[in-house]
Amino acid sequence: MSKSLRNCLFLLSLFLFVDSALSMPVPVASEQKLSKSWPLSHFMSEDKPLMLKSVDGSYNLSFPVSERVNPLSAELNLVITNSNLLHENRSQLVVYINNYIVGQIKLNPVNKETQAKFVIDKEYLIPGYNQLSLKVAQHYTETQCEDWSSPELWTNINTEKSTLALNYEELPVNAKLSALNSLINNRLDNYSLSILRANETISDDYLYWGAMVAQSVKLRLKHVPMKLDEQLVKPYYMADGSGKSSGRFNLNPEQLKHDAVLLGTKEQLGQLIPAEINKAITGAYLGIFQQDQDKNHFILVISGNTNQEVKKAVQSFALFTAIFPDAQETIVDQVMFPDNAEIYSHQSILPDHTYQFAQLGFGNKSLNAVNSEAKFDIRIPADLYGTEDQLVKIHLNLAYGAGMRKDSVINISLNGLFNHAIQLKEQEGAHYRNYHITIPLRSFNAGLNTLAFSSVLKPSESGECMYVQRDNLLVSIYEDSTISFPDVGREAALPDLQLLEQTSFPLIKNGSAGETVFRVLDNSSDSITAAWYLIAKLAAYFETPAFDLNITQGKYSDDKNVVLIGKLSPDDQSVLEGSPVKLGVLSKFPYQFKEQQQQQKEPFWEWLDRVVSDQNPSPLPTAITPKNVPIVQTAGLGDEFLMMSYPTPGDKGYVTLALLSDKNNSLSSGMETLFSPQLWSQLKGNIFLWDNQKKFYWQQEGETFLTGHGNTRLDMIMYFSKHPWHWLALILPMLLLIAWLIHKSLAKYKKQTHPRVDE
Amino acid sequence: MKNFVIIVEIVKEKSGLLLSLLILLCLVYLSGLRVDFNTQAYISVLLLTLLMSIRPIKSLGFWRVLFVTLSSFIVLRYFSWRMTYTLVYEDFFSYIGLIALFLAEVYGGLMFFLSIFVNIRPIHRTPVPLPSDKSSWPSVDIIIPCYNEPVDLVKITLAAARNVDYPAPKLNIYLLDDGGTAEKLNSPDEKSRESALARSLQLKRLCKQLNVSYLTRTENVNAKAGNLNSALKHINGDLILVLDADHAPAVDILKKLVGSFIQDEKVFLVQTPHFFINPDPFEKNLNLYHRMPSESDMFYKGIQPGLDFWHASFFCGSAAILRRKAIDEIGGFSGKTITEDSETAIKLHSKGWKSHYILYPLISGLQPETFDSFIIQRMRWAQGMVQNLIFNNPLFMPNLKLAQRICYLSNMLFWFFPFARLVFIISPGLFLFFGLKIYHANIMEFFIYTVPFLAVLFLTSHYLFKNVRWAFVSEIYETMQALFSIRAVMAVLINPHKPRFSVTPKMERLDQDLISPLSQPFYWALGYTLLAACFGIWRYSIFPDERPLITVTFFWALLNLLLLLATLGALHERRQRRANPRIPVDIKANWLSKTYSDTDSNPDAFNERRGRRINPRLPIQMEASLFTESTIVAVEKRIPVIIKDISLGGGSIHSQLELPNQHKAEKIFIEVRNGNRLDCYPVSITNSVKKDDHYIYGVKFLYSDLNDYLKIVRFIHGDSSRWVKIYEDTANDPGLTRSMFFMVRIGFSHGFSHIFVVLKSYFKKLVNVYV
Repeated sequence: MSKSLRNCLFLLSLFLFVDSALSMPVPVASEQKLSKSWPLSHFMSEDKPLMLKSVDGSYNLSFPVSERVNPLSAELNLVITNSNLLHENRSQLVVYINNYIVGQIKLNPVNKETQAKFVIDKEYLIPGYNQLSLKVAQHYTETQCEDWSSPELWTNINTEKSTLALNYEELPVNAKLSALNSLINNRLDNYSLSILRANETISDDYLYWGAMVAQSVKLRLKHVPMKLDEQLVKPYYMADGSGKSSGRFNLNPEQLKHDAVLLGTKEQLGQLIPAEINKAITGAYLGIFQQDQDKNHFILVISGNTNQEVKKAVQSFALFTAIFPDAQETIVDQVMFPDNAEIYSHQSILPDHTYQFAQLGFGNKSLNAVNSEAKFDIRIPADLYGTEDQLVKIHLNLAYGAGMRKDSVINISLNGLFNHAIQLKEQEGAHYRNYHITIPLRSFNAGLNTLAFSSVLKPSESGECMYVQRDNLLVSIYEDSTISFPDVGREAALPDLQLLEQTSFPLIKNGSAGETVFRVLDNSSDSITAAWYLIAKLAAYFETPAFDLNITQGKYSDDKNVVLIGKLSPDDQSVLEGSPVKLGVLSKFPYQFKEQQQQQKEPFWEWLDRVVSDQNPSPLPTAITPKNVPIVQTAGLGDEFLMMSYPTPGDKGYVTLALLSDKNNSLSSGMETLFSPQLWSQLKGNIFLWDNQKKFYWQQEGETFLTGHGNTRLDMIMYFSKHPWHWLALILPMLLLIAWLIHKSLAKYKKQTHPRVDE
Repeated sequence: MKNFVIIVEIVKEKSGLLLSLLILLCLVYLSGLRVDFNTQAYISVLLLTLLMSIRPIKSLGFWRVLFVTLSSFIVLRYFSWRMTYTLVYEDFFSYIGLIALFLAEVYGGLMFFLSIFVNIRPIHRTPVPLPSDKSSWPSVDIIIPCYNEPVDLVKITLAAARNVDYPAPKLNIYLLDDGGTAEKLNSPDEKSRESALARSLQLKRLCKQLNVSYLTRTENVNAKAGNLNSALKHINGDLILVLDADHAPAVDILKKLVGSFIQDEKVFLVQTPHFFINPDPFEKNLNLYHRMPSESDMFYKGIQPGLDFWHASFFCGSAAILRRKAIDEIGGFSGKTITEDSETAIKLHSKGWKSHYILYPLISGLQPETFDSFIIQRMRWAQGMVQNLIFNNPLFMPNLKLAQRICYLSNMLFWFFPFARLVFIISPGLFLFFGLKIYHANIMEFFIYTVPFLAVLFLTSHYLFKNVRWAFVSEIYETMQALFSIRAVMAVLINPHKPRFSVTPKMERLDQDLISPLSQPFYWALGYTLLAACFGIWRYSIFPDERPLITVTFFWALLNLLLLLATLGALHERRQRRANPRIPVDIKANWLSKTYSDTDSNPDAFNERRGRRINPRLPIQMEASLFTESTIVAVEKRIPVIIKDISLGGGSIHSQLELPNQHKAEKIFIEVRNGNRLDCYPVSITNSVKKDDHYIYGVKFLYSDLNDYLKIVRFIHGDSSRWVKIYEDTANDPGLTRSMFFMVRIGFSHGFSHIFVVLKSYFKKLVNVYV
């Protein structure tokens, strides 16, 4: 080929490429074949190896397939180590997907580590959650009888090295409001969303709208991480000067990398949206559309004629959790909130109330030798304050099979900690109604608690040469079992970041943020996004949006809890009045120095109780209170972020929570890091420092105070329980004084009525 | 402005009261705070330590008030905890048991607070001396109502009344015989009729001899109150001394009591304690008489002085003087209930009259000798006081002062103890036997709430009544009565008009030891408790989780077992041969022997010469040695002796020297110095025994005529200082722990003795059947 021909072909190719690039800026995603892989541990509640024991050990886990993709196939790569005493010809691992067998391998006792690859065809995969079951058949003899639970019968699956990969292609968005729940959940990775602002001025209303959107999205995502991107958008037209946009929406495609929510009044959005949508906005408006250039992502328009209508629309968005309406757009006329103040968020319990297990999400459960655990969650109010002896009572309705060994038990654990056992000792089996179990209230944590029932069921007959019947190893726990909470008070010691992490208390109480004001310290998108992150995270605990939240950039009422979030202006250091850490030209930080140690002497009564009942734990260890040394210096946060909580000045019983960074446009990424399970669960004390490498540091500085429902009685109970000598110091003088007064009164009475009677 | 000034003045004047009320409210509020175990443990230990420290301080002032204040706080905290945290519904039957136990405890708590109110500041009045001008002394009628008491018993009281030292023109004595009414004398039952007639004749003769007016009436209407009211028509003295037929007054009774009426014209009652010269069945059968304070001491030495402080000491039916004018004001003695005494008192208190209580024993009386009589007496009291609560409820009685209302309420509510006691007996079994959850507490709570509460109950009771009531004695008495009184109280609650006055039998004799026929309910209770204790041991091994609670309940059952055993001990009736109880004394005297020159030792001839038989019922030999003035003393010998006990029948004397044998011509006397004069009482020696370095002789008083009888009665019953000494001697306090262990030992030994006797008799019967 001549050089000129080669040059022509090159130019032609270049032309064609540029032409195609200009006309189709984003390739059609549906044509892209994508793949994503995760370690198996990603789908497990705990990061630990998976051990399959006994003759027929098995393990089930679920992995999601998003409704927004079309699965093409899946690949399961298992890294297996099995007992070297297994009999090769009788030992195998079988893989099931949604109860279909998709593969099997022999378990070779010679191999040190076996790698097995299973390809799962798309026919086996369904949108939503798919059940992956790993079952083994393990034997150590070929023909002789054997012990089914022999300890050498094991296979270990390395859940970090083992992976599950999904091959898929993305699907175009189903632009219906009824599809919102499935759209806002790609189940494969972090979910990203752009919140688009049409107005340069950031109003408090806009902050509220965005916060509602953030909460709505987070509540749909549940545990899937959310990534927000707040942007100012301006009408965007093609660069050719024609004044035309590249699609229906006059938006810069560069700003539409993810799903997007366009927020604003009709007037604010007027130049950004097509005329027909503009025309359709006659009230509180919600409309969902495919993005012009990327049909796999949507743009959600939330608007209205007035700010109030936009507010109504965002609230409706938060409430649209059902597959209704089946329409692309809607005008919300009324949102009729219940006017009863005594409503509570899902799975929250109240003192002095009894709940059936079914009401707490626990249906009838049957446990056997393989599926041996059933559990449910209970949300304990953060400020539930009970005395040591108050008990949570469980009345279990249960049945168990006959012919079990006497040491078969149901272990009851609370938050992973063994608490109680029920021995299943009736050879003929039994059906119990109201089997009574008590757990001290103080064993429950504030916030989410998991009550688990795990059965340890053993057959009554066992032996090497015996057929072991295990179908009788059954326990049923019925959903009409009840759990009763004692009548206790509402009191909590603040500030406490751990309590915030566990319960969102005190910023959001029972799904309400009415007692809190969120103040964004600067008008950067980064700080706004950080505030929305926080609000969404706190609301997620209650699984309900906080409709009554207050978010502002300006002044706020001082009779509320305050959240300060953003980058602190050097001119406005006063907002940190009363804080344990100061930032600015000079920063102040309390460094740990020494600690005050006080041996907790075991009171005689506790000793006696321990000796008699043999139930209480050992005496308390030494109480160590850190004594910090604050240092004032010129250097500050740098790349780190600070979260601190302290009593709001004014002694009104409120707290201030400050989330601060020293750099622009970094706090939102810091918040994403903070909300990672590894970091969020480490919140403690009232000062918490972290960086994007997930290094963290916490400490306590300053005094705590009690908060409750203004109940003096509870305050006193809690205070005197913690300060017994103060109790004595109050009671004793009062008793002496009253005795003296009575004595004087009696003497006076005697003098008046028995003047002639000598003492 | 004027109003403001008035308000300020009132506030200033009442500032102490207001402050007290404010602090009281604060303390009540604080007592309800449910602090953690440690804090509660600290306060319990501290307050108990303070109570233990205050205990030895003998003070009726600040320390006593402080003691009851501290203990009240612990009790308040206990009930606050009980009410708030332990009344948990588990199942229907458990809840019933739980509520019953709680109500029994509430009753106990209420009685605790009422008791400390009543006893916070007892006063001890001294007798008011009479003016020297005897003409200004008021006239007194001594009235002695009787019904069916033995004549010999009435005779002692009449003689003692005759001996009372008061100007004769101003003193009249009346026997109000309800056993000789026309109704009784015409009884359709021949035996009763004849018995009433004979008794009536004897009493009339006796009254004539003693110069006592015999009064009776047509019908026995309104029992004792009716009898008293009937007498009011015939008597007209300014004051009335009421004496039961078995209450022999001391000679100085009027001189000690009348002064109060002269001193204060608003006084309607001067009550004195009932001093008893014989043991009640509990004391007798458990051999406790004079080893510990008598049961009645708690009321007469402890509670009545406390009531007196609040002007609420009340009439106890006898040993009291009442102002006639006051009695007339309410139309006589009240008889709507069968305890006319307290009923009359509450009505007079509500009219503004005052009562005094003088803690000075001025009568010597008899207690019921057998358990049956004891129960009859107590059931009457219980029924009468419950009737009073219904008909004369102090909460609604007009014009009573608040303190008086509380005092009367305390006295009346006390008689509901059988309900609480029964619950306390049954309760341990409900848990150990039936597994009912009637007390919701863990072992820690038990130690920091229940144990301090129980300790405070014992400590406070001991502190307030340390010299008048030993530990566990109240519990045993209550257990003894509970199973019978509960029916009596229930009967009143069902029909308040139903109860009839039952006279307590006195001067009963038992020829041999026997098991009281009322024992059976206690066998059931004992069997139940024993079974519960056995079940407790079984439960302990079966339910390891419940061991602390089982242990506590097991010990509770053991305590009940002890109380029931002690009760059984009291139901093992010991023989009672003496009609006249021996009174322990320590009187220096002389054995006096007189040999006469003209002596005729033939009794019949002697009597013939005298031409009369003073008392045909007296044994011949007693009259044979009558002391006459006509004889001439030839030889007189004196040997110092000490009289150790006396009764109307005789006594025992201790001598360092052996007393010579009595010759025919010899008369023996006991010579006692009484003030400035020497009194000689003719006696005969009935037995003798040498013990260690001294000799003990039994003597019998010999009397020939009524004057001698009066003299001996005066010697035996007339000296109130003797009762005072016995009162003081028995007021001993060995300490809480020692008295507790003592009662445990006594209870076990006598209870098992009872069981042993029952089993022995059962096996005897069994052997008789089969052999």
